[in-house]
Amino acid sequence: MPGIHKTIVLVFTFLFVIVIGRMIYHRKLREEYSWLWLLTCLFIIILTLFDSLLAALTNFFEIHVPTATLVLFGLFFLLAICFHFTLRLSDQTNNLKKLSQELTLLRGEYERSLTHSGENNKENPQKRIDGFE
Amino acid sequence: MSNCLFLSFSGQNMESSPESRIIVIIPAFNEASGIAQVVSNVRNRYPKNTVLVIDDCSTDDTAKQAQSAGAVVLRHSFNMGYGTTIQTGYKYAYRNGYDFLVQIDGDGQHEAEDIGRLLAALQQPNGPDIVIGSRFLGGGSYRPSTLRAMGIQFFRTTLKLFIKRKVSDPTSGFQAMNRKVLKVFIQDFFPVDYPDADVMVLLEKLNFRVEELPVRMYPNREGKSMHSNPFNVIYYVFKMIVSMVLTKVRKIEIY
Repeated sequence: MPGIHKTIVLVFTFLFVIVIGRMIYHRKLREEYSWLWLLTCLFIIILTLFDSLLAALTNFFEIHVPTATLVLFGLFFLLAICFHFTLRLSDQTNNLKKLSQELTLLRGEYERSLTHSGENNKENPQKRIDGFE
Repeated sequence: MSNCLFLSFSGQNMESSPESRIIVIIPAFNEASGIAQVVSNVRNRYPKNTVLVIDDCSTDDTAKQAQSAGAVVLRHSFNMGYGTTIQTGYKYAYRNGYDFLVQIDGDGQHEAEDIGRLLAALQQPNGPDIVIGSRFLGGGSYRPSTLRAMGIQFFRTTLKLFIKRKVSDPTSGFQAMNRKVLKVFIQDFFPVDYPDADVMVLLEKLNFRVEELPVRMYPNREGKSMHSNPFNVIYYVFKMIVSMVLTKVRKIEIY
C-alpha cells in the first residue's frame, strides 16, 4: 500500500474518531449509535497499520490493489450501518405513530374536560381542570 | 399547519343510553367543503349516536366545519395517512367503551341511510362481528374505471386464495364492527399503511364472522384518489401482497 494512501487513510480515520468522540461527549451522538462507527474506524486503522494483514486479505480475495480491499470493507460496514438505521427507523416509526395517536386522544379528552368544566362550574372553571377528575 | 393547533372545542353528545352505545367515525383529510354535510346527515338520522371526525391534520378548516356540524373532533398533529387516522378512531371508541362502531368516508360517497342496515345486521342475535358495506353487491350504481376494476378483481382473486371465501369489496371504507373486532384493530400490528385486503386475512385468521351488505356509493365529487400516481399503484400492489402473506404467517399476540 503506497505511503501516501496510508497517511491519508490514517489521518482521516483518526480525525473521524475524534469527531465521534466529541459528539458523544457533547451528547450529540448517542452511545447506542456510535459503536458501529467506532468499530469501522478501528477496523480501517488496524488494516492500514498492519499492511501484511491487508495484503493477505487482498491475496485471499484475489483483489489487485490493497486499497480496493479497504474500500470493500468500508462498503460492507456502511451497508451494516444503513441496515441498522433502517431497523431503528422502523421501530421509531411505530413509536411515533403510537405517541401521536396518544397525543390526539389526550388532547381531545383535555378539550372536552375544558368545555365540560365550563358548563358545570361557570364560576371557577379552572378548578376542575386542575383536578382532572 | 397552524390550524392543527387551535384549542377551541365544542364537542358534546356523550349521550349514554341503557342500550348499546354506538359511535360513527369519519376519517377526514382536507374535506372542509363536504364534511359538515356528511356529519349532519348522520346526526339527523341517528341523533343518539356519537359522531367522531378524526382530522388527519388538514390544511383547510375541516375540523372547525365538523365541530360546528356537531361532531366530536380529534386532530392529528401531523398528517399520518388513512390507516393511522382510522386507528385513532378505533382507539377512541375502544377507550370510551362503545359497543359498536361504524366507519364511513368523509367525502360524502356513502349514504348515511345505509348505516342503519349495517348496524341492524351487526346487532342481530348471533350476528357477524363485522359488516362490510360493499359497492359491488346488489344494485349498486358504482362503476369503477377499467384499470381500477382490474385492480379490484386482482385483489379479490388473491384474497380468495388466502381466505378461501369471496369478499366482493375488501377496500370498502364503509364498515361496522363490534367491540371484539375493535380490540384487535387497536393493536400495533393493525396494518396502518393500507388497511384493506390484509385486514380481511387478519379477520379470517382470528375466526371473526365477516358479512357483506350492499351499500350505495356516490362518485367522488373531486375525483381525487391515492391511486392516481403509477408508482403508488405498483407500491400498493407489492405492499398488499407482502402484507397479506405476512398477516397469514405471523403469530398474533393481542394484549
